[in-house]
Order: sequence, then structure tokens, then C-alpha cells
Amino acid sequence: MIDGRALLMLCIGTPMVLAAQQASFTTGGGVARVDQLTSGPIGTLAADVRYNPGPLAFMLTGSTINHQNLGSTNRVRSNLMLAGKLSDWSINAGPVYELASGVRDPRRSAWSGDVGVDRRIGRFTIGASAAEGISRPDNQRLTFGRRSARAGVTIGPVEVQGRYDLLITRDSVLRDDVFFDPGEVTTLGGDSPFQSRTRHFEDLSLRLAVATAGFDVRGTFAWRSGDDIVSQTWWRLEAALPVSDAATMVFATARQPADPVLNQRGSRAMTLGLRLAFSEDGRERLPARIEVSRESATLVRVIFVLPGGDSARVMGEMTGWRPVELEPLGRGRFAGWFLAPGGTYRVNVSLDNGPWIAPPGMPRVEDGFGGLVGLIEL
Amino acid sequence: MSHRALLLAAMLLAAPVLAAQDASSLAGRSRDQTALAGVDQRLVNRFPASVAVRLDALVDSAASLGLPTEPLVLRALEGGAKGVPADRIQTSLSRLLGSLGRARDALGANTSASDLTTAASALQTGLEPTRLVELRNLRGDRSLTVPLGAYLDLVARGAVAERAWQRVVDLARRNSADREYEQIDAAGLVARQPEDRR
Repeated sequence: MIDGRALLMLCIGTPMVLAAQQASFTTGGGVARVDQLTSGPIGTLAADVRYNPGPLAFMLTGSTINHQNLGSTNRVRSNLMLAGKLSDWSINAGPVYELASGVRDPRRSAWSGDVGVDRRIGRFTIGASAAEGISRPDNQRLTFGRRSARAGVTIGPVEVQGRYDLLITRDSVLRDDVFFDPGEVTTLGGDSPFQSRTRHFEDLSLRLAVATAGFDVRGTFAWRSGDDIVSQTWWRLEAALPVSDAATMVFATARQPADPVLNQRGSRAMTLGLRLAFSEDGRERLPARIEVSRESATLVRVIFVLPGGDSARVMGEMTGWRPVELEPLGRGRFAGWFLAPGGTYRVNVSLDNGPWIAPPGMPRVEDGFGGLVGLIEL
Repeated sequence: MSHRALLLAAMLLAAPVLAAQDASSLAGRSRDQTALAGVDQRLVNRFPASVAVRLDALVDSAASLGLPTEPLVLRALEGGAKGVPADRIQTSLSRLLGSLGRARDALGANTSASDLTTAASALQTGLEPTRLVELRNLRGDRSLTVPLGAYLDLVARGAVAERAWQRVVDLARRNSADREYEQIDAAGLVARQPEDRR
């Protein structure tokens, strides 16, 4: 059920930001403040590293934007997710760490635990996720929760997704009836001058993605509303044009909303850049994962290369889908004899009585039951 | 009354009940055997009688439509081996039956069972039947199993379906050897903004 292949993808983007603007409107204690940053041409560097050893997935994304003569804004997000399948549902769960700093803002970080479920039903996808976390902006304790529900449909190369995101922040503010005197602090009623505060921020968004043979276009258009903020729209539009297997030209424009958890201002930017990707799919770099020697029209000997196990079983169309123990040959090689006329067969293998997986290094397809199955040519 | 006399009395009282149960069991088994007549023996051996009969009805439907039945039997056995509930196996078989029919309509009645099965899997990923016709025309009399298998493999690895299909068709246009389909790298075919996938 779980794909055991390793995938490492490193994306380095060096977009040149043509124009950027950051602005925020905040209110506190009845005082309104507008912050705005503008700058001329500036540079960004972004990285996206993914590693999928079996059911685990590690993702690290980060970016730094240098504002000429002003400073830089930086963001880092890392996920360590455990992925699995339950019936037809894909389940992901794990910790998330986020870090951000702005030109005039100190560095802030947040930890959260995230769990999500997704399911594909033909052309349709549905999913939901939830997270609970903690942050310490301005030495204050802030807990937050994220809830998300999404549904999408794929029609040819077009994928449309509707999404609802709710962010709940819980912190504290000074009570309205607290007055400070230079000589002493006076509080009226209660022991603490602070009162707890809970705020809700809602994003209703529509995502549109078109993936053709030649290019990708992705857009997100959203409406944000919530407590103590002015309702606003935000959007992100990106066009990606592959110029080779490893390089992609990217043009993007975005009006990003503020991040209440990490206390980051909203921003607006237009980017033209080049994204480079390096990946290890495994198939080309690994030696042959299967050796087939046909002894007669119906008898065939197959050697599977399955490193890392002491025992292996196989079941597939050539065994009538009954598990068959393979003979260990050493160095991760296992052999079996099968009565099978020439043709293509669906097959799964199990290492050390583990889950049934598609054998690595050979074509695989969805098995119709929520898992993957290998295609073996005998 | 001795223990032996008590035991004898209990056996006499229980005898009619046990006899009735035994007769009922035999009658049930006889009914099962009647219902299982003509059902594929592999299904009979792997599934409870009622499930085997339901699944075999779909196999019979395929036979009556002139479609290959072996892929359906094997798919049922696969589901059974993987512990999939009977209802989901039946649903999967129904979908496969429908896809086999659409694949046969697109590719023609003389298509091999292997090509039909792989084409049916491709249709289940959302591929349009006209694409099968396009590939059939490009490949001529050669099997479609390898290019369609490569396409399915790429999609399963996360490639954009349209992009994967174009790569496969490009190779078919160039009359490429089968091994070239197996060497297509999925990395260049995935969507360019993976962070937006959720």
C-alpha cells in the first residue's frame, strides 16, 4: 500500500522580483497603524527539499527576499509527515515547524501538529485537515488551530478546487478597565490585567490549475474575513514553462494575506525567475530490479532484487494471487519459478512479511483497491 | 438416578434437535452446490458461496458481451488476496467490466486481452477513448501494452496525465522501441508547483 521508493527533489529558485510591496494595517488599543515597505528591484532565493523514505515524507521549504537597503524577509517551513492509506483514504500526520522574520519584525516561530485526509473518487477529490499549534509572538503565548476542507474536480488538464480555511488564534490582551499610572499599576477587579482573546480568520478560496503538455498555470483567488480585520481579497497566479527536464521559467504575481500566527505583514510581489529541479526517481540509477529467464513456453524463472530484507514473498496474476515464498539468493536477490505464458502480469511483493507493495524498479499502476501493483513482463 | 441415566436422557431429548440441524445444514450445502454450478472454481475456492456467485455474475456478463473474462477473475482474486471487502471487489469488477467494454469499443473486437486490460486501466484514470484510437493508429499492429503501461506508470508516479500522454505519443510517432517507453523519466512530467497540491 505504501510506495517504498525514495524521492529527493531539490528546487532552487532564483527569481528576480520586479516589484514588491509590503503593507499592513493593524489596530491595537484603539490606535491604527499603517506600515508599508516599498523597494526597487530585489532578489530572492527559495529552496524546496523533499525526501520520501517509505511512508515518511520530509519537506523543507524556505525563501529569503532581500529588500535593497532595507533588509530581508525570511520564511522557513518544515514538515515531517507520516503517510498511509486506510481504505480509499490517504492519511498524513506529523509535526510542522514554521519560522519567519520581516524587515522590521523580529524572528518568530510556531510549532503545530497537523493531520489530514484525502480521497480521490474518479475525477473528484475531497479532503480535510486540522492542526493545533503554539507560537510566541512578542514573548506572548499564542495557541492556534487550523481547520481546512476542500473539494476538487479534474476535467481533462483543468483542476478546480474549492477550499475553506479557518484559523483560530487564542492569545490575551489588556483588559479595557486597566489604567497605568507612572507610580503604580491599578487594576479593577480580577487579579490579572489581561483577558483572553480568541479571533477567527476565514479564507474562502478557489484554486484553478491547468497542466498541459507544454506549461502549467495555477491560480488561487481568495476572500479573507475575520475578527478585527478588514475583509480583503488575496490572490496568487503562477505560470511555469518548462525549458528542460530540470529547468522551468516561472512568472508569478501575488497579493499575499498577512499571517496572524507569525505576525507577518501581507505583501504584494511580481516575480520572474528560473526554477531548477534535481530528482532521483530511482529507476535509472539503480541496477536492474528484475531478471527474467524463460525456460519454456510456460515455465519462467524470475529474480527480484529487493535489498534490505531477509525473506520475500510474491503474489500476482501468475500465482493466482496466492502468496509464494521466494528463494533468497543473497545480496537482496530472491528467485521464484512460475508457470506463466508470455505476457504482462500484475504483481506485488512483500519483504520480511511487511505490507504488499509494487516491486521497485518496474512500472506500477493503481490496483483499483487503493494501492499500487507492479506490471511485470514475463 | 445415576449420572449415566441422566446422560442418556439428555441425549434422547437432544437427538431430534441435532438431527434437524444436520438436515438443515445438508440442505443448505446442497443449495450452495446448486448455486455454485458453473461458477469459476477459483472464485469458489477463495470466497464464500454467496460472494462467489455475485462475482461470477459479472464474469458471465463479460462472457455474454464477448469480453475476456480472465481479467475479471484475476481482479477478484487480487481483491480477495488483499483482504478487500466483497462489496468493494464487486464495485471494482463492475468498473473494470465497463472499462473493458469501452476499450473494446475504441480498439475493436480483435484486440488482445492484454491490450484490452491495460487500455481499461488507462480509461479508469480518465483517459479519453479517442486517445486509445490515436495510439492504435500510431502503433499499427504492435501491442499497446508497453506504451499504455508506461503511461499508467507515469501517472502513478505523480506525472501530469496530459504531459505523460504526450511523451508516450511522441515516442509512438517516432516508432520508438519498447525499452524507450520504460526509460521515460517521471521527474520532468510532474506539476511544477508541488507545494500547491493540498
